[in-house]
Amino acid sequence: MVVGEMAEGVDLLVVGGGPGGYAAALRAAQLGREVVIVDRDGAAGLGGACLHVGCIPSKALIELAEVVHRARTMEMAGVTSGGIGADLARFQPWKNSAVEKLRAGIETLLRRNKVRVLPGELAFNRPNRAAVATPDGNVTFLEFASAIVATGSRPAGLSGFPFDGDRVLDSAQALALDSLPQSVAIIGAGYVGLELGTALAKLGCRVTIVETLKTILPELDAAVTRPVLRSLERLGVRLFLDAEATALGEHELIVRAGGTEHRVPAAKVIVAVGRLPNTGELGLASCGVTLLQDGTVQVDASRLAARNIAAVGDITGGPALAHKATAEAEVAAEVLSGRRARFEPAAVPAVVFADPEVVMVGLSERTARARGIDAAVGQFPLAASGRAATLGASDGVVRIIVDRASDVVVGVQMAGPHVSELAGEATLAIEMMASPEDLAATIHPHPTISEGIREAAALLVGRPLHVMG
Amino acid sequence: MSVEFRMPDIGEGIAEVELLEWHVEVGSQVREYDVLATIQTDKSVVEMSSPFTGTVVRLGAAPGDILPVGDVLVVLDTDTGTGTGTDPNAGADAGDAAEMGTGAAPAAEPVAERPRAAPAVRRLAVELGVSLADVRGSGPGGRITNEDVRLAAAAGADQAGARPGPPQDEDAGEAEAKPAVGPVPDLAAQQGTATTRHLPDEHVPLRGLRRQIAKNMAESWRTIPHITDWREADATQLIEARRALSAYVPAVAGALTYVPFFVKITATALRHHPLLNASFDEEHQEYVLHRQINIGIATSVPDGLLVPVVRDADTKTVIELAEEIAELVGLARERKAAREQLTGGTYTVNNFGAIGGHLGTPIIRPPEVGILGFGRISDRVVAVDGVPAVRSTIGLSSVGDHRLHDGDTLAAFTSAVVDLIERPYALLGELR
Repeated sequence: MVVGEMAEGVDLLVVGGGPGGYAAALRAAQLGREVVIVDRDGAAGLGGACLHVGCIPSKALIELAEVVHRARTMEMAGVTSGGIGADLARFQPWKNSAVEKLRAGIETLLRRNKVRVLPGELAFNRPNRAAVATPDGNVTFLEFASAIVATGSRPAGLSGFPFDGDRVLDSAQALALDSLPQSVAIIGAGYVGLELGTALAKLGCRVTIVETLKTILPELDAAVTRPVLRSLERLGVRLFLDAEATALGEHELIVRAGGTEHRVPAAKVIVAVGRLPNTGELGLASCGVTLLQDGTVQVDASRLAARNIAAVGDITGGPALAHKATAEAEVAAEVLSGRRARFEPAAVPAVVFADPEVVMVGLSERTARARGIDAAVGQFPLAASGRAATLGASDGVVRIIVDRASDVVVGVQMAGPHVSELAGEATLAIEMMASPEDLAATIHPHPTISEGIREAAALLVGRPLHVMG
Repeated sequence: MSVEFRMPDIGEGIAEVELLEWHVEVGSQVREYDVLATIQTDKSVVEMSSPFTGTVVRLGAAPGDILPVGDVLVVLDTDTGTGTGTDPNAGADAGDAAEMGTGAAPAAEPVAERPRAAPAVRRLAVELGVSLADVRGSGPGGRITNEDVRLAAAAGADQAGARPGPPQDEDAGEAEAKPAVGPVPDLAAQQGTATTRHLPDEHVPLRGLRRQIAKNMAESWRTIPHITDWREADATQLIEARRALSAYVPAVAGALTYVPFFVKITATALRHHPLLNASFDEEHQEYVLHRQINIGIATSVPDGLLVPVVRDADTKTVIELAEEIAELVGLARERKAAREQLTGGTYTVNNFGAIGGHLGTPIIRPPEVGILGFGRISDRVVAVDGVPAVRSTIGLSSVGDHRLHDGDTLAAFTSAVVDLIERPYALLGELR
């Protein structure tokens, strides 16, 4: 850098306008800081990958697919569904308008909190200084008192299947499709692969999912993954486990599984094998921040990566979840503003919008036992749920994992319709260290899926009503 | 069966105690007479023993808590070897394949290591720099409440020496036990224009004896209109008397201080001025004249002031008083004085001369109605027969409760004291 460069003074600099970045900015502003957000896309990027190419667009697509699918599958309940279909060309602008409405909401919140948003690629070059390459080709310098880095992550690629935006897509590009491919092969059966695969299959696409592991969602107990596996089968999704995609044919993907080679139809290939932290170009080393081998930033519970620099969200490792980033961001903003705070949740809930929806909070039975916990499990099948029956979606389960020694709920896993909305209750139970008696003694409204939580807990305390203990 | 052990009234009419320390924790096996806790009444430190044999199920208070008499001190399970397990039904599909994922598994701490506290309580603990592992919960099932955390923060400041004062810069990743402290956004320092020191204030909670003194003194100052009669007395004869008596009774020579003289003189003066040897009873709108003259001696102890009491001081010789006072003061300083040795006073003397004071403004200990401060004996120039002369004098600060005393009754008593200091042989007429 040139000697004598003029730097603009910034009180608190936030890098990235995603769920981590904008939450950090809002919290810091509440605490009286003058905040500047630098995002690659400026105000247009507010909301980050989550809002623009992740959580929100995928849920919109999943909702579309669900409506179409249910209209077809509820024929036995009296739905006359002739002519029902989906038009992705009309879906995209609808989804985009929903995204824009949410983005504009964030922009308004930031403006009301007097947070400035600057566009540009930022790189740190000193412990309190950063260069911003703005879209107009200039470079400006910011000298900051403290900084919160929240640059998020990007889809990881596979060297054998480089993204080309046409045939080989990442999840963002897949969500932007404006016509339905005849066939899709998805590499990776993580939550992205499962959600996309399920939605595309419901829309009428031939879907194949290839996974190197021996199971989907390995963090889940088998009882919870089983409804998902059954649903994939019903939807005609071909799932290769313990398998590897080896090459791309003209219209197929070559998959090796069980010693044999399979050619699966693949008008498009979606690579969904995980995400990589956006830390490489940030120049964090010049601030004394060390990156771990996987590119993530090491932070402590206070989220500090250096004396005056905090890091939150996907770049700090752990599950790449927006709500985790937001919670970390609040801690980071408070710590850098002289407060004491720590990111030490009892549990970070994770939701997969597969069919059925899947929730995992806290420990699985397996993990609990591996940690030496004397675990008891209360398991309620949604086959006994009135609400599930009326939804025509009775394949599901609620499992509550309890530490018998302390009589405290340590994990909840669920598969079933709308169980994503029950993740909050499950997390609250773990945070409050509820006993199964607490849950069993809490009235849950009828008829709802939430009764499953009460019933699973009632099993644990020995007085279930709707299943045989 | 679980039994509650409620805080008994261990003294004469105490309303509350302060819990200083637990000797047991939840789960401890205790036998009858085992020490459960150390508590402090307004006067003494007492060890509470268990009236039962059993297992501790719940502690009714945390160290530093004020526990009203009659509240639950501890809950004991008197059956041994109980344990309520949940029904191990609903066996799971364990043993299915699958490696442990490292990806999205949201980690929770093993429950055994997590304190029972709601998220809001945990947040408060972080803010106050309290380690929940060190906090005992007073809520249902031993849950830690906000109040528990606040009390722990107050108590902890004592040891840690820091509470939410201005936080300090610290390296990230310090040990768990240390309170997480964020760096101070210090623009000036970061821009290299100035270096500012941020030294944290030390917040020391009022605990134990100090808290008791604070409460009692403030109460006295609020309710009693103090009047003070300051005098200077010629101490020449008193010095001579002590010298003579030291030679007369060599056994106590080394230990014979002025204090037994002060006590004897005060007790004697009180006998002639009984209105100072009284209690004021606000509630019944009366005052009580005490026939017994029990003199409290303000004694500084490591964390405050205790007042051991010499009973029937007027009937004892100076030598007897010397011996008794030496023993009482020793016990008080070691915090071993029994409750009855610290109660029952009718009047108090304060020998602040021992720490250099000349005159003072002593504060009455309710329900007493007077207190007498003795200053340091020192040589001063005084007028003797119209001529300046150097004399050893002692300052006196005689304080009365104006609700009961007017200037004249207080002055009459003070004059009697001055007279006995200046003519200590008059005490010969007071011996039984």
